[in-house]
Amino acid sequence: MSERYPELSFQAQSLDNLALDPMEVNGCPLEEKDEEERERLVQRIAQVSKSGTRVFSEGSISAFRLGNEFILEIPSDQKDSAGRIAPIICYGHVSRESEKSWPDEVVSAIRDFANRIGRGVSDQAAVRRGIEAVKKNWISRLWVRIKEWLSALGRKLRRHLALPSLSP
Amino acid sequence: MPLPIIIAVVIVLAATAATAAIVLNWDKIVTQLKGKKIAILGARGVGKTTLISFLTTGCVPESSKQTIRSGNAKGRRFSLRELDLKIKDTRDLPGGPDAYAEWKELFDEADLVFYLLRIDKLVESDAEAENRVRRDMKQIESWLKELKDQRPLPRLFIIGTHGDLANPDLTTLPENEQGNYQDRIRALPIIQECVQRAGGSHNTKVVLGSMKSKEETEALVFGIFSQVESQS
Ligand SMILES: Nc1nc2c(ncn2[C@@H]2O[C@H](COP(=O)(O)OP(=O)(O)OP(=O)(O)O)[C@@H](O)[C@H]2O)c(=O)[nH]1
Ligand SMILES: [Mg+2]
Repeated sequence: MSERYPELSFQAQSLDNLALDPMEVNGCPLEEKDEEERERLVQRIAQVSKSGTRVFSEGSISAFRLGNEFILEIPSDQKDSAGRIAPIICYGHVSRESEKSWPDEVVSAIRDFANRIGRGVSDQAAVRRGIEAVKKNWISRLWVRIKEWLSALGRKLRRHLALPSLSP
Repeated sequence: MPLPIIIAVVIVLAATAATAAIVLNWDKIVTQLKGKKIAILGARGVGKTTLISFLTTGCVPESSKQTIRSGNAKGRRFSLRELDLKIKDTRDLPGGPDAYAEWKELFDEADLVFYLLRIDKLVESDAEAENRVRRDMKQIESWLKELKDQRPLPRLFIIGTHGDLANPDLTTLPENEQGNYQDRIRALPIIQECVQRAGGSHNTKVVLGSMKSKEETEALVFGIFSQVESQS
């Protein structure tokens, strides 16, 4: 049995556009009765897609970032009943991206989900580039935040050091 | 916040449709479409993305993709027979029932709601298609009830697509048989139920056609906008 990745969620649309859309949250498949959780996942994906920044776009693969949330949209090898591209979405939070193994784990997680729902994702190199873009974007944002934090700290320190000399 | 379609319409030609049996008052249609927000809703695969593409680019997409996450559609200006439409940015929504919250967000802001359904499936009495339409229309009915007393209700258009795949093919029927066939489709219990749930025939129009080609899509869209006047 393939491994499940607790920090990632997945969504796909059924190939016949009729059956329940496959979804997984925190490694658990969502059934029809899990209405609230299904809607919540769709809404988070929509929010990242609507308000996030597109950090990667190559062919039909795209990646978005919103704060520490990300989504990756990847076309599966299969087409739907109308002959359309049938993508898979991977949603997650970037929390372990500094670990060297993270991009490969996400690639495997996407491949495993695709396999579980009877699909394939051939262009794994492109998927990896998408994940690297998500990660890079996070690092550059983190760096911006660290710089802002350092300069705010510097200002505070200067003010703190300057105050005694100003007081009578 | 989703940005539904906002239409600004400019007249470019005379106020009569040369070939139309009924003389349309384009001035009135233009006034009624100006600045209006449109929400395009419907189940998976009914043609939402195709219609949005046509409205925002003037083209029908050659290759397509399931809309699994809602996306932005950049609008622009295009001419449609007597009308020159300026469509602003919009959102293309997924068709799965799990996206109802997103549908509602768009619905709540819309002046015009286009609800798409596949007439080929409904003509065949496909139970699954009928159930999905019924489920969607129950939602729409409840959203209309919520909006009542708050603001003018959005006008609803029930738009039948895939008429080319219906048996018989709606698009190739001789003109003299078109009317009867369309009336038969409109009389289907499921279509009647849609109209009733959407607030009755004074608030709801049914437009039937196909989006197989650009020409057919143009005719369908023209048919929708022509109905705007008769709804007032
Ligand atoms: N023959 C025919 N094909 C159509 C018609 N309308 C749309 N299509 C095709 O049907 C398929 C589905 O259309 P879309 O516009 O992607 O449908 P959608 O409602 O956006 O579907 P989701 O994104 O899955 O919710 C596409 O391949 C379209 O080209 C029609 O009237 N006739
Ligand atoms: Mg679509």
